[in-house]
Amino acid sequence: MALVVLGLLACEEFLDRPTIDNYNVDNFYQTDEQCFQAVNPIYNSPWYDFQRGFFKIGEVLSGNFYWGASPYMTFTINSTDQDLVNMSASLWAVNAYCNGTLENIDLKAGPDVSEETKLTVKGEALVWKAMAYFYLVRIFGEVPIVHSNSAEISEGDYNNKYKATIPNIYDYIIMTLEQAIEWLPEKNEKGRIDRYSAYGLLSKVYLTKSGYGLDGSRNTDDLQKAAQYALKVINNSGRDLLPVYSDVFRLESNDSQESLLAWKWKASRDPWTQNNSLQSDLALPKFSEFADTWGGYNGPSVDLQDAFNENALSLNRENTDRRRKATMMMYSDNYDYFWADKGGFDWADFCLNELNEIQSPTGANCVKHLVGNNNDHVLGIGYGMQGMATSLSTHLLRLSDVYLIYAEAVLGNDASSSDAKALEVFNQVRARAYGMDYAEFVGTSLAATSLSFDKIWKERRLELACEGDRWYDYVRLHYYKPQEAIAELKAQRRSSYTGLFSFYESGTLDTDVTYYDKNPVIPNITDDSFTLPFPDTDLTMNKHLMEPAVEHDISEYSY
Amino acid sequence: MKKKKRSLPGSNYRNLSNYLTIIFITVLLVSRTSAVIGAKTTNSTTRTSSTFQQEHVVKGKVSDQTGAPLPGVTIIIKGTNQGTVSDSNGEFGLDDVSPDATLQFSFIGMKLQEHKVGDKTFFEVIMEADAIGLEEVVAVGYGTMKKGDLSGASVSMGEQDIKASVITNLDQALQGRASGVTSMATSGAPGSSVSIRVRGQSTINSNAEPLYVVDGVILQGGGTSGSDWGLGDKLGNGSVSSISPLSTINPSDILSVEILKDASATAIYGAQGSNGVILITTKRGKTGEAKFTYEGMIGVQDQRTRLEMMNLREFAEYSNSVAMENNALESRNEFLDPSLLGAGTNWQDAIFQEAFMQQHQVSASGGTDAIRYYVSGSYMNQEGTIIGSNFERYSVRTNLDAQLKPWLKLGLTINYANTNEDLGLAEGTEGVVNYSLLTPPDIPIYDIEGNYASVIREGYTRVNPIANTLDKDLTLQREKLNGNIFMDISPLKNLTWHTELGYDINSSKGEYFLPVVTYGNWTRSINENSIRRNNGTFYQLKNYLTYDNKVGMHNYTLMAGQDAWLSSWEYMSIYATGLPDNEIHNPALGNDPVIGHAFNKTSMSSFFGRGTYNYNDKYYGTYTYRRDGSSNFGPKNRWASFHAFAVSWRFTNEKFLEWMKPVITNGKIRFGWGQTGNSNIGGYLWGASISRMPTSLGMGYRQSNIANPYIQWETQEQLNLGLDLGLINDRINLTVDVYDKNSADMLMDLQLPSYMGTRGNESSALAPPKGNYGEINNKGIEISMFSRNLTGEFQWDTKFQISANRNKLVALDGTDNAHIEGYGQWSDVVTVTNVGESLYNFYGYKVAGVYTDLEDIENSPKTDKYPSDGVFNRYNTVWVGDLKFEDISGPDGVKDGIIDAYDRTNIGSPMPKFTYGLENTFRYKNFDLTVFVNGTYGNKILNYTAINLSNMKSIWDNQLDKVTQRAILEPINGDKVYDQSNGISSWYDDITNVQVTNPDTKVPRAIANDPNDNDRISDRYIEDGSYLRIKNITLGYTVPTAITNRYHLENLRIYMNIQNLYTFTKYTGYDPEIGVSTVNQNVYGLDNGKYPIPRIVSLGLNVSF
Repeated sequence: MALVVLGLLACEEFLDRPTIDNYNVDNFYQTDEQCFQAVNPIYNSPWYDFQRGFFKIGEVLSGNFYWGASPYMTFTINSTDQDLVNMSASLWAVNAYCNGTLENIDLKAGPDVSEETKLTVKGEALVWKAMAYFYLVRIFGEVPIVHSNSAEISEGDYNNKYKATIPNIYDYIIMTLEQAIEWLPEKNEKGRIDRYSAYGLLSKVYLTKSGYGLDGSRNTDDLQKAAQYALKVINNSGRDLLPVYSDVFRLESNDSQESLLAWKWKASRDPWTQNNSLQSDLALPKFSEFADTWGGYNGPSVDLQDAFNENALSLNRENTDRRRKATMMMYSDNYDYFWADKGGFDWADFCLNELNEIQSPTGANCVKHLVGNNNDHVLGIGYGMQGMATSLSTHLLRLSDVYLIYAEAVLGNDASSSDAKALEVFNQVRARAYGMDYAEFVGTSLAATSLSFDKIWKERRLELACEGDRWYDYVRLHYYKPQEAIAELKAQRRSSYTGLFSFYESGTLDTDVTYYDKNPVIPNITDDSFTLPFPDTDLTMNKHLMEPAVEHDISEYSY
Repeated sequence: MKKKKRSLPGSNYRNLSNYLTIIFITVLLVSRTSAVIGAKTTNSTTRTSSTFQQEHVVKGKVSDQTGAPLPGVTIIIKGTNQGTVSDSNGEFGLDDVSPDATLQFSFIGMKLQEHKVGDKTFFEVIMEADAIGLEEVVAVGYGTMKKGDLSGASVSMGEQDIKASVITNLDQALQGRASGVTSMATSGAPGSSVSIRVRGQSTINSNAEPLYVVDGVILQGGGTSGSDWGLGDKLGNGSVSSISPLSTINPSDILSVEILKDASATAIYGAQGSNGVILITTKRGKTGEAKFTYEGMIGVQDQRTRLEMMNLREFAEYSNSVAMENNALESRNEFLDPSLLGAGTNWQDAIFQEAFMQQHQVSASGGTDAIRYYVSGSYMNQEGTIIGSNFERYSVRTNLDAQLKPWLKLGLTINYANTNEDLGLAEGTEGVVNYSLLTPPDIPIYDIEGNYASVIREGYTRVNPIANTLDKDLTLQREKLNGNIFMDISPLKNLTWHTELGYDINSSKGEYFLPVVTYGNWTRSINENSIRRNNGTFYQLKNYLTYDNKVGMHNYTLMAGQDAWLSSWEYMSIYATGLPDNEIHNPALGNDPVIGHAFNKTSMSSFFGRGTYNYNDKYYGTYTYRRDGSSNFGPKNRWASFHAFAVSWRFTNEKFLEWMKPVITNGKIRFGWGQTGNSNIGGYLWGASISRMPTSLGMGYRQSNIANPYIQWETQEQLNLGLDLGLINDRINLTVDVYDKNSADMLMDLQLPSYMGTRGNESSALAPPKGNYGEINNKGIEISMFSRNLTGEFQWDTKFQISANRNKLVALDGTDNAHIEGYGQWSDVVTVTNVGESLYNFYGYKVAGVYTDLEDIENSPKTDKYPSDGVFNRYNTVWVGDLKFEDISGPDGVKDGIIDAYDRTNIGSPMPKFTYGLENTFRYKNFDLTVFVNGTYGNKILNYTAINLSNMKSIWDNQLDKVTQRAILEPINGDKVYDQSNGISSWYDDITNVQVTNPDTKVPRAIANDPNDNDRISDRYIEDGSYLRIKNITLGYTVPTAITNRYHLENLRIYMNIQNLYTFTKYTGYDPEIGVSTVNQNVYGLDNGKYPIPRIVSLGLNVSF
């Protein structure tokens, strides 16, 4: 008997123990559904660590949002900054996941997987990869190109990589998106990336790159391409703007036709990183029931209020532009879609009577990225939320963005334009903002009859405020008009009010008690401020990151 | 809001007495049964002998080797309770002694002697000093050997050593007592683990702990991080937790501990031996009448050290002066006159408490020639010295041995333990230590209504730390059943077949509950509850044949066998929010419960052999071979072989060296070489796993790691040279070992920069491949000494050990820039290990001083916050009073006049130059006194807690009182007039008119947001971590046998013990004993609010009868 036991123990089966409670890369990717499931996580998890950086760069750096003693307020971000480190980890993790998924689909997909599915999921991964690189190049400037993680690891040269130039990276992104356009279907399952997501992103990439390396003007070929791709989305995608602006940011619109590209979060904490945590950083305390909100002390900046023609030192709201209320909550604002079970959420009432303080020294708090309380979450999507976890999709590319890209690209280097199509889409965006039908709107004095850069520039700010995008407008502007970008940022009203509580409580404004910062700090903004440092971990591992970029031959890469 | 009631010590233990009664009755029943069996045999023999022979009176005298009379020697009639003690003249007398009986003479520190009574009536006995255990039999793994025959390096710890300190876990007893073994408590929480490194850090794995083998069965840990237990990140976000697998073993059940250090000794454990092996042997019964023992102690623990924080008056003054310096801020009204304020809340006093502990154990042992038993039951409870922590353990053990046939022995070992822990997060940024230190003294603990007070202020929410700690529930219950059943079969003379089935069946329930609470403006109105159950089963089958023989002067032993184990593990968890109320903790009652489930199996199969040879107790040799197969590796690299040999020479047994005898009684030189391995990395890393990741598009499945199909064994080679000396009649024993061990193909994460996508949240990053990527070398010397300085009536023994280890990262895969990083709280780099350097050096900037004025800033190396446009601003550029860092290097490897990442450098090593322990034991008559000190020398500590406690970034945070010595700014020309042009309204905005009043200070100016990053990791936070601790003082009194006999007691001892009485150190934190970081395994000596080790004052009682 002992011999039998010994024989058993020596045989390899006793020691062959792959994972038994889950799949591995060799037995997954066997059906079309599994291939889609394999690309699903790239819609959320690896982006999780970017959430804070996404908001602080996009909105705080750009002056749209006030954030107390944050280095993003004062342009004093160090290479050890936690949000910076997490952001870098996140964007590169997205790239790694995209590269890995492409490789796994190519090498491991089973015989039952259709060719169409393979191309679709690979196309989705490519769009995400392009999006990650688009963020990287606009945040860090020159970065290395990691085309295949597995190849880098097997070659062992990963710590000797040099940065690629900014034009190289834009070429790499364009090459990636062109491949995605070829592979993606015109129409995909609801909420998923389709060919028009890629077109829309490509138009934005061309528009951004058009001014790079130029002085005062932009490359007309790039502008043309930007307009051409945006027009494909406008004319052929079959997508339209949602009728009501604030609906775009509700749970019900997670997969709406207005959204071309979005993070698809799920309100659960197990595993962590499937969840949207932005409400925690942006909402007032007690906003949800989980003691998980601490964003009251931060809020949309005075400068953004100015742009909306809004003034916290007044008790009356200018509600002509509906986007204001959908972006920031202020005195006298009441939201029926928050706290629906309690008859709505009244900002001033809550601050004055529940919190007994006005936390945000700008007199406003964020509205976008918020779902409300647990009941609101159930109403919106059918199940509850958890602490630091909501299911609200974060939209990265919306149809109205593409409309405005089209307008800006058509305008190009000209001082003004009255291109009919450009005016039409521009006015469609504005019409909705004013709560009107397009047909009704064009007859009013609110409608634009000609376009200028300033008009589009401002419209972009109002339309996309607090959506994590504004800083990249400045990066784009800085490419060809650096002094203009710096001057505008320095002129912003980025500071705060004193004495708002006594004003809102009493209802009368005493300018000795309540006033805007009399000696505001002007941030030290220079050309260097438009690229952020690499995390120090990377600097210690690869000294080449501190050296100049090296020209790469992008034609060496293909998918 | 309902306040949680703090229970008084004792009220928890209502069930205790019932429980103990049950144990006691069980013990009695078991022992009664065996005593009946025993009594029958004894009676029959007595009857036969007494019929023929008359009992008589014996007398005698006992003396020591010098001829002096020896009082206090215990004389017992073997196998009975009868006996006496020698008087002050060394004389004794005993009535009614049968000529068949044997007298046992025993005295601590002397060899036990036995004398058959026969016809003798007077005994003259000379007691000899004990030659310290050369004849002692010790465990060596798959067998035992006489200690004197060992050729490898190992340390033994007996029952006495374990009992000498008040411990809840065995690993705590190892502290400072064994040379070559570094042991640091991971936490001062009750029941928490001690991190042990045998001969230095020899792997980069999170699991560098030694292998624990209890009665031949590998002890199963069950997880290293809080999330392994289902506690999420509630115990911190790291991969190491302070939960100890050894806390499921009752230390009183342990007979001896053997620590195998060098590879020739550990090679028999092959692939599991490279971190050292700790063999634990539990007590077993001996033939004889039942012996009952009660051991109990009660103790009080407290925390003696307090950090020098600002009290309310100081905080108000500080707050006012910072407001003045920054001008933008106005003084807080309530602080207008600090002299009117009291001391405010002392949060340190609020979180630390005096805590009660108690331990009780009853045991019975004895048996007949056929059956021997050891049965015990124990209870222990230890409250924590930080509020909200508690540890409780029940354990029951039964060890049985049955001689079924002359050639067949059956053994059974059963241990059951149940532990209950109330845990809390002490360490880390979120931990109660840091959190309460930062809480300012103006916040009261309770508001006027008696509820917990909390405060929300501008940009700042401060939840009451006491409330936050006490209202949460964070508990862990564990059950473990382990032991073995074995048979020793001797079919032929000298040949034994040992067959054994070992088992370890364990389960745990980890739970956290976050209640609905309101603390001021801070509300949690939906509660959360999570429960996770882990189940593990471990079976180990062993068979080995041992043949030993003696041919003339040649003694040899051959052993060959097989060992295989299969470990299965699973967990199920349920989590939900929105339970109906805070009373019933059942997540199934909440909304949308989330279920988790996972299971896995790992296995190992091994074959081994060992030959030992001894010629006339002079020449010794051992050869060991082991071949291991592990399921952790892919088919390509599954099996590996390990060899080892050792030789030794007892030169004092040589004729030609006999002249040494008067000085060197015993001398032995040992040499060994061996290989061991390490496979302790988790399963299936040769492939790429897929894990689930839900999305709102539907379920997602993500690849969770990068596969490495080539992953294989980590191998270690070690050389050991040792010398054992017994001097002056073995009064002094000295052991010296030197070693050189090299760990190659080290299993670790491939270290990758973030652009490889392997960083960030564990559940979102692609885990880097694990593989064989490095090589580490450890060299060291260990000296241990034991001397009997005085014998006789007044006895004095000394034990001393000192160890020094040097380690070096020899090689690392990758490029020239490859190195190993360690992180602080999240992903901030605090240690860097470069190839060729010692492990885990702290990494950061060096501080040269503060900038005294503009000229100083301009003439010093430029920081990255030096304004490129020349416009200084005190809020966002470098400013007077900021820290001046040293320019160390630049892109070309030379100083470049710029302060940037190139200027970070090695700022100190957390590794001690040496560690030591010294124990002195004094005995006089019935008193005994033991004083034990231990310590480390030459290691550095990164006082990470001090970063937030002295960065002055927020005036809402309390700070160490040393911030009052910060750089104070003043105008150079106070009369200069400002007209608000260029936004400059006063001297403090005019950099040309600012200077520091105290230019020698090392503390920078106070400025919100810290633009110059003054609080970056620098030598500002590096402190000397050397310490000498009075670890243990025990004063005991053994009641004289004359008295105890009267009450039919065999032994009665009471003692008082003080543990951690005082620590001599320059370190300014709570406790310099800081081992591996619970956040990151590549960090040592980082103090991020570690739970300090308490002082324990206890009283104990041991009774046996």
